[in-house]
Amino acid sequence: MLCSASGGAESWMPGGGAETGGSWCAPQLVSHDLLRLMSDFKRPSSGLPSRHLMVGNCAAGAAQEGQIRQLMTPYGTVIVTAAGSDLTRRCFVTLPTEAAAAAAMAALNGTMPPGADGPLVIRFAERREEAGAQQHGAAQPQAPLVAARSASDCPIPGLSLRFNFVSPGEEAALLAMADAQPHWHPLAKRRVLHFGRVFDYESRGLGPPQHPIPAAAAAIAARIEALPGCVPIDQLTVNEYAPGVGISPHVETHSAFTGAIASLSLGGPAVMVLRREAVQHALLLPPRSLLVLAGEARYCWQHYIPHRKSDLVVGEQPGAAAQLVPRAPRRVSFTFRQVRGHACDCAHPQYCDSQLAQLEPTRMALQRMEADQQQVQRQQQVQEQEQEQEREQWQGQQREQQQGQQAAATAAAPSAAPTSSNTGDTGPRPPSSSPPSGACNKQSRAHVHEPVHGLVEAAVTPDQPLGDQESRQDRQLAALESQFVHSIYNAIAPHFAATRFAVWPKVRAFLEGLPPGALLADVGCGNGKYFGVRRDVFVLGSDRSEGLAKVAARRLRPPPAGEGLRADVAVADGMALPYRAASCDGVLCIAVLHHIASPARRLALLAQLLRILRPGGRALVTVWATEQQNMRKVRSWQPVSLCDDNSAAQDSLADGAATAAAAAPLAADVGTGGAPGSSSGGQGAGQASAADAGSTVASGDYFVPWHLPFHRAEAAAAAREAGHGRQHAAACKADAPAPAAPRLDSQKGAVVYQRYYHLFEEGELDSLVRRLPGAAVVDSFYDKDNWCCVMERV
Amino acid sequence: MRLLCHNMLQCHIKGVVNGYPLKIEAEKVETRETDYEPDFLRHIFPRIQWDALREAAAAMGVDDLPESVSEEMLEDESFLKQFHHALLEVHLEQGALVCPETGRKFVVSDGIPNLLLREDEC
Repeated sequence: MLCSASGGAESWMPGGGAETGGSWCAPQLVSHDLLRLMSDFKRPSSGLPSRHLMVGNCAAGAAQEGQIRQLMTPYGTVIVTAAGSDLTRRCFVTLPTEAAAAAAMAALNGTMPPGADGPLVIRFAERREEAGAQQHGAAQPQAPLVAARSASDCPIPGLSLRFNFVSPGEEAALLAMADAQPHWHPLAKRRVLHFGRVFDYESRGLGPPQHPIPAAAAAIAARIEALPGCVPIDQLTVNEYAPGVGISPHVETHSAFTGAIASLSLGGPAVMVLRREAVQHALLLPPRSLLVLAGEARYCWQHYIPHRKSDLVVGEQPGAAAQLVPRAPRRVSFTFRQVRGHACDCAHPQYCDSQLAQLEPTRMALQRMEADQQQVQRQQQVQEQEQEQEREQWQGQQREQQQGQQAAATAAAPSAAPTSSNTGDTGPRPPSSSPPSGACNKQSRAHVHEPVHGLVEAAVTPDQPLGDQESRQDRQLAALESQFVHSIYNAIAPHFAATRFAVWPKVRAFLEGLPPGALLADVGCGNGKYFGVRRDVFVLGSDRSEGLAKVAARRLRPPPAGEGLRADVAVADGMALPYRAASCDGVLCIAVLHHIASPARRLALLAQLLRILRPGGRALVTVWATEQQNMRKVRSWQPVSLCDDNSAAQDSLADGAATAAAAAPLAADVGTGGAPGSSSGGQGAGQASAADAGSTVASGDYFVPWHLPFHRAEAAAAAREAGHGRQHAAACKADAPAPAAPRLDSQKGAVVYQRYYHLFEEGELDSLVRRLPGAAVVDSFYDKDNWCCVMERV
Repeated sequence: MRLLCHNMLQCHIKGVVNGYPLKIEAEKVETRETDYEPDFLRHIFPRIQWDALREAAAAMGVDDLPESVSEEMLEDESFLKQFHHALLEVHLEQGALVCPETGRKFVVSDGIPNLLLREDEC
C-alpha cells in the first residue's frame, strides 16, 4: 500500500490542499508578497513558543487579512503577513508577546471560522531574521530557491534534462506496468519497485539478480543507452511519491552503480534540488522528462526533492514572475542505472565510498543497531539474574559442604588432615559476575601456554637466537598470521576501511596528552582514522596490509583529493618496525596485538613498540577482551586451538577456513586440567565460558568472521576465491601463505572471511607489558570490549 | 613520503648494524606546500638527525640546507623556512630506499615505502 502522505497541515509551504483534478495542475502566478511570506518565517528550530504564529486553513486571497485580523485582535496588536493569493490558505501573524500568541493559539486552533472548509491549524513560527540573529549574531534572511526550467540554467557539469522523452501513451503504459507489479516495497514515505537487482537501503548494496526489467521499460532503457555518455542499463528502480513527499539529499552510492544515471518523471512534476557544499540549484522535472546525471552531477552533487506540496519555478517567459507549481497527487520516477560490479575509481575520491568518503551508517542501519543493542541489554539483564541465582545456589552448596565437613571432622580423629576433595581446583566454582573475570579458566590457560614458555623468554632477549624447534614454531605462527590476518585485510581493505571512522574517545584522550610537536607512530594504522586528530602532531603511520596503507595514504593528499594531513604511511610489519630506536614520543597500537598468534610473538611486538619510544614516551595498546558486552557474539565465533604442534594447528586452521560454518572445536582438547565439575549445570554467560575453557577455548583463540557484502567491489574476487574452497586452503599450506579461502553466505549476501583473534583476559595484557624490561604500566583499563594499556618507556 | 619520515627510517634486516640512514634513489619527487608552523619545527628539531636530512634533501634536489646547525638557528626565520620545506614539503613519490650496509632496496610507490622484510631477513 502507499505510504501515508507526510506534510499535510504541517507542511509549511503555501499552496497545496484541495487540487486533485488532472495529473498536472496548471501553475499559478506568484506575487512577490508570497515569495517574501515564504522566506520570512520558518518552523521554530527550538520548538519553544514565540510571538509569531502560522495560521493554516484560513481564508484565501483578499479576504485573508481581514479574517485573521478579526480573529486575532482580542489578543493584542496584530501584524498579519498575508500572501493575498488565491492559492494559499496560510498566513503568518505576529502578536505583541509570546503569552498573547500562546493564548490565541489555545483559543483558536482547531476552531472553524464562519465559511471555512476546515478547522484552523495554528502553530508557533519563527522569523528567520530573529532566528538568524540569535544563532549567528547576524540576520541572514534566506531567499527562496526558485527552480529553473532548463538544465542549462543550472551550471553543473554532467546534468541534462530532456523534455517529452516518452509519449503520453508510453507514460500510461509504464504506469500501468508498475501498478500491476506485486513486489512493491514500502519505505517510510514512499514505495519502491526494483528490477534487475534489489537495492538494500540499509546497507546501500545490491542483492542477487531478480525481477527482470519488463519489456515496456526495457524499450525505454534501450533508448537511454543510445544517448551520449549513457551506459548499458541492468537495474531499474521505480519510486512512487504521494503529494508533498520528496526524497532526502543523497548521492547515488558510487560503489553500487556506474556513471550516468537516468531518471524518468511520470505522472506529475517535482523540483529537484542539487547541492554541493553551500551551492544549490533547483530544476523543475516535468512529467515525461528524462533527467540524466553524469560526471560531476552524478558523483559530487547531492540531489533531493523537498518535502512540500508545491514548488516555486521561474516564469515561462524571460522576466515573468515566478510561478507556484503544485505537485500532482502522484509522481512516479523510473531510475535507470547500471550495476557497477567493481570498485568505483571516479575522479572524485572525496565523495566516493570506494575511495575516501566513508559512508555513515544509514538511518535504517542505526535503528537496527539500536534495536539489537536493546535486545542485548535485555539478554544481559536476564543473564545477570540467572548468574545471581546460580551464585546463591553455589553459596548454598558451599554452606552445606562446610556443614558436612564439620560433621565429618567431628566424627574423624582430631589429627586428620583437612580433606582436599572439596577445595581448590576440582570443586565447583562460583559463576563469575559480569563482565566475566575469566578467573575460572586461569589454570587451564596456564596449561595451554606452557609449551611456548621458552619462546616468551626468547622474545624478552631478542638477540638470543631461537632454537631450531622454537624457530620453526615461530615461522609457522608467522605464516598463520599471514594467512589468517594479513592476507584477509588486504582482501577486504576498502570495505574494512569504510567501516572505520569513529575516533574512539580514549584514543583521543591519549593523543591529547602528547606534547606539542610530538612524533607519533601509529602501528597498524588501518585507514588512518587517527591521523590529524592533533594538528600539531606528526604521525608515522604503518600497516602490515598494503591495501589499508593505500587507503590511509589517500588522506594525506592535499585537498580536494585528500585532507592534506600531517602524516606519512609505510607498509611495515609491527613485528619488525623500520624506525630507529627512541625516535618517537608516542605510539598507538590499536587492535593489532590480538592478531598475533602466541604470547612470545605478542611480547616481541610490544618490545618493538618500546624500542622506538624515547625514554618517557608512551604507547597506548588496545586489544579485544574475552569479556565482550555481547557474549552471544563471542559464542558465535569459532574457537581455534593453537596447540604446541603447530602443523596440526595449521591443518585445523586450513580446515576451519574451508568449512567455517560450524562452531565445532577444531583440534584435540588441550586443556585437560581445571575443567569445572559438571554438577552446577549453569547456563549463564560466565558459566558457559568457563565450560568452554575447560575444553577448547582455554587459549582465547578464535576465528572472527568478516562479512564482505556481495555488492562491494572486492567481493567478486573474494567470491572466486571462495569457489576454490578447500583445495585452495590445502594448497596454502604447501607454499607461501595465500589468503585463507573465504566462504559464501548467500543468506547474508556476503563473502565470509575468518580472521584470527586472540581475546585477552583481564590482566593478560598488563602482565605481558610487565615482562618487558624498561616498560612501566602507566594506565590500564577496560573500555567497550577492549583491554587497554598505556605503557611508558622508563 | 616526506623526509621527516625518512629521517626516522632505518634498515631493520636482522643482523644489520649500519642500516641508517637509508639512501634515497629518487625517480619522482613532488613538492606540496603545507602550512608553515615554526613551533612544530622547533619541537621536532631535536628528533632530527641533521646529516641524514641534509643528505636525503640533496638526493631529492634540495641542496640549500646548511652543513651544521645549532639551537640558535631555530630563531632564524629563513633557516626555519628551509628546514620546513625540506622536512615537510618535498615528497618522494616513486623510487627506492637503499640499505647502506646490505644494498637491499625498499621500493617507494605512490609515496608509500614498502618496508616488509622477506622471511630470510627477519
